[in-house]
Amino acid sequence: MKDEQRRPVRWGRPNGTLGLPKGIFAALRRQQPPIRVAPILVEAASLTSEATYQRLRSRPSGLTRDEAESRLAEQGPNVVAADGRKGVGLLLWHAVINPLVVLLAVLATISFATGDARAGIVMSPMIVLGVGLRLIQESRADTTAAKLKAMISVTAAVLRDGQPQELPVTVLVPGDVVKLAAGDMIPADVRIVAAKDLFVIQGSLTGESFPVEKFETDTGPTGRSPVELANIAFMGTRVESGTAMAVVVATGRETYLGSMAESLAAQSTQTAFDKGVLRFTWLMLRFIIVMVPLVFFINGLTKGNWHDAFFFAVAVAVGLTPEMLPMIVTVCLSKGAMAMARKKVIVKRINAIQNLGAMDVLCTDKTGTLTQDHVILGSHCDVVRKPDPGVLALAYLNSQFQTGLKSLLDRAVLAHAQKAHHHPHMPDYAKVDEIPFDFERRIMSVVVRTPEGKDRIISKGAPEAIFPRCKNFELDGVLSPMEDARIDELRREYEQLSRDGFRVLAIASKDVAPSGEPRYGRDDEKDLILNGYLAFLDPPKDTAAAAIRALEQHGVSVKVVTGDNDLVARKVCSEVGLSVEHVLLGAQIDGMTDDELADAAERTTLFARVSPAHKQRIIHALQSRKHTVGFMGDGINDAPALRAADVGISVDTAVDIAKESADMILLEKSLLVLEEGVLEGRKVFANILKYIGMGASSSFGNMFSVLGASVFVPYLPMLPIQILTNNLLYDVSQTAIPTDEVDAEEIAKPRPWDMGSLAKFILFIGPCSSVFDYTTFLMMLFVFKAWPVEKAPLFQTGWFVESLLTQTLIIHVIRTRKIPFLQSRAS
Amino acid sequence: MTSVIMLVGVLIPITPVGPYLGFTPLPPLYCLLLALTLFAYMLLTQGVKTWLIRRAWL
Repeated sequence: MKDEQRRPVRWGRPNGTLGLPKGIFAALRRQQPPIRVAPILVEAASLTSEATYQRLRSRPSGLTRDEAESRLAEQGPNVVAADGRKGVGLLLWHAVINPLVVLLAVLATISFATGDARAGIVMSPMIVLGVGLRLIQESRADTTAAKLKAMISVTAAVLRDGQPQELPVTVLVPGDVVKLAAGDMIPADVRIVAAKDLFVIQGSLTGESFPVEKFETDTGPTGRSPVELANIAFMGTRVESGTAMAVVVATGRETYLGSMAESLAAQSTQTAFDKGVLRFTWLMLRFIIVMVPLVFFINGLTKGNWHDAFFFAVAVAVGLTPEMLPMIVTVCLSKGAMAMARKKVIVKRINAIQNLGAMDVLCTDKTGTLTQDHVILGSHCDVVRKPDPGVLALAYLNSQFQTGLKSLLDRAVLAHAQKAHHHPHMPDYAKVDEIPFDFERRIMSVVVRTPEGKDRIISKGAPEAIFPRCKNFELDGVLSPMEDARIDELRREYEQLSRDGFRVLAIASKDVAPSGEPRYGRDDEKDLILNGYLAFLDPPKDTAAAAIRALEQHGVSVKVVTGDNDLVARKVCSEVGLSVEHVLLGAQIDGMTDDELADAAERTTLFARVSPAHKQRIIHALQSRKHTVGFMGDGINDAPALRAADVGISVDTAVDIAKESADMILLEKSLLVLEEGVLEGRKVFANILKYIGMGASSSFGNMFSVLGASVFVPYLPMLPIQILTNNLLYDVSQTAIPTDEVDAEEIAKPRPWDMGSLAKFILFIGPCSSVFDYTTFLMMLFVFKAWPVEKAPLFQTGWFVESLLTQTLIIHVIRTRKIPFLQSRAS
Repeated sequence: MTSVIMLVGVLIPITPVGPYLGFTPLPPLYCLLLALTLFAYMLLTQGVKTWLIRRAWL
């Protein structure tokens, strides 16, 4: 069975900051499996119910227990992903298997092996300090992530041996017949075989705020996206209302959701920051590889003592190794993580903090992140879009009296009317009858007895369904006939509402004299009077506009990427203050090459009707243009994008898979915390860069000094043990860096990893220290007459003190762009 | 933190640990020259840094 070959889906990315093996594995990495719908699902969609049963070797009464057991053994459990927490051993391995640590360990071993125990003793604390601190931080982060992933056990109503029973969803197999009711999670990818008013919320897959209808029909293969198949419901979506019988077609990893989870596991993206740190590490290693043999041979040849030359070279190697880098990076990041935790942001992958600071583009999903994911009645108006309390009163009666499951929209009407106190005095009205919703009419009606003793039919439905049943429309209390010429005008009015991003329902009514028989049917839904419209929307969060403004002020441009339609998305964008000048649709993206998409993505602020794969492509396109991209989303459809982004952000209300895929989770509704996080990230980055700038430039400078001194001085310019002591003391002084203050100017704009300016910094600042090393050499040699070999300790001590003092003092100059001590002070 | 380390660095050669690590006490004149060196070094680095920033290389 092919599943056995697949590695378990890993939740949470490796935290490798300097992961050497990551680079190696990246090359071996498999092609990323595409996000796909099982072919059998598409096939089932085009078959009749009977043929679907046949195809799945099942029947309306469900599978027998034996059949189910053998299929379970064959197919595996219906789980999307296995939990794979890293053990301490693996974490230790990640912390140790780092080029710097390995180098240091090798050098320490050599020192011990060759009898230079003192050198070994000085090196050991460097290793322990670096690895230990990192290990503690990472295992803490991993535990937090595991706690977050508390799996909820879910059951489904399954027919086995013809009997309905509640079974855990994990034991479902293809062919099982399940019963779906309002509130149920869809337990697998299923083909609907019988449905009554079934509405499914698949926003977590598609990003749509509104429920979609699913019904038993043979749609046949369509050119449309698979999630739009009307007789298929997908795992991970939820039943909003209605009931249905469905047959399970695909389970576990074969499901759409499963394929998405798999595509997530396959990508372990290395961020710009990871790459930058890695490049820096290798740069330093190259320095060492060139320098150390050179130093060895020069000292061996000039002094003739190869044994001393060897230890001197080893010590120089240790001196050049930025062994504190992993520690500094980890401590800086976890300090940032703790600061974020105080602001109610859980940071799951601490590397992401730095990326949050470097981020210059934030792509965000709409539903649930920018918006409240809570549909409200935005407006109730007459046929020319003038607010009309009469329409709300009718809608209220309709929603209040209907006995079916109250839909999202019904609840929005009731909530709005109760809040506005615009509802009729209920005891005045008595319910007479109800004509429930069905997919043929696509409207529903309630009949009430008015205080005047008339029976009032109140119908509600999509305008296209209501219009043909209307004879007149009402405007300012005057009835006018629905003539063809007028219908176009009326249509333009409600289409304007749709264009404004509202979901529109029409309300129509008529009064009839009560007949003796209080039975009303669909034949009575005719010759109605069109009263007006209800317009629904999913409003933006209160803090969304302010947060977007704050981000843009700090140099982060915000783009909306949503599966919802562009009309709804435009509305939200304009409400939160985003330009909608450049809009791109999913279908347009399909026709673009990656390069064209990258060009377009730079300008576009709104991407609508996009699939999960599109979201991923958009992020890669932006990344190809050297942007550090953040993605904020809460749905299953956001998960691949959350993984692809340099920093994936989710919210507490998000679906599990989105939370799993995210790097950080906002626990509070307010989006303002984003801006604070960005600033926190920039502080972390500035401090890490300080270390790198200092470490690299002083190493570069020392390189010149060591070479020069080796050539001109008749003895070792510094004893190996002195170099190591110098190094250890310098390391200790650097442990203060993570807690250092950062000048406000440094965090005003995103600071991407810029190897060029780093190189220039090293190239120019490094030699400055060499200049004064040389003046010290001259001073020791000529002022203090240190030429003879017996005066070596004087020379060595002189250089040791000068070297250590210049290195530590220069921290103050490098840590700020301003004048040290006077304008900017260290912590 | 930096001042502590600098103090340790200056003191090591004259403490009992000094000879063990191959150090020898430094003459008083050295201290004066060292102070000069450090001051000049800071000035130079600050100058180079400002120059780099002005050329927008940082």
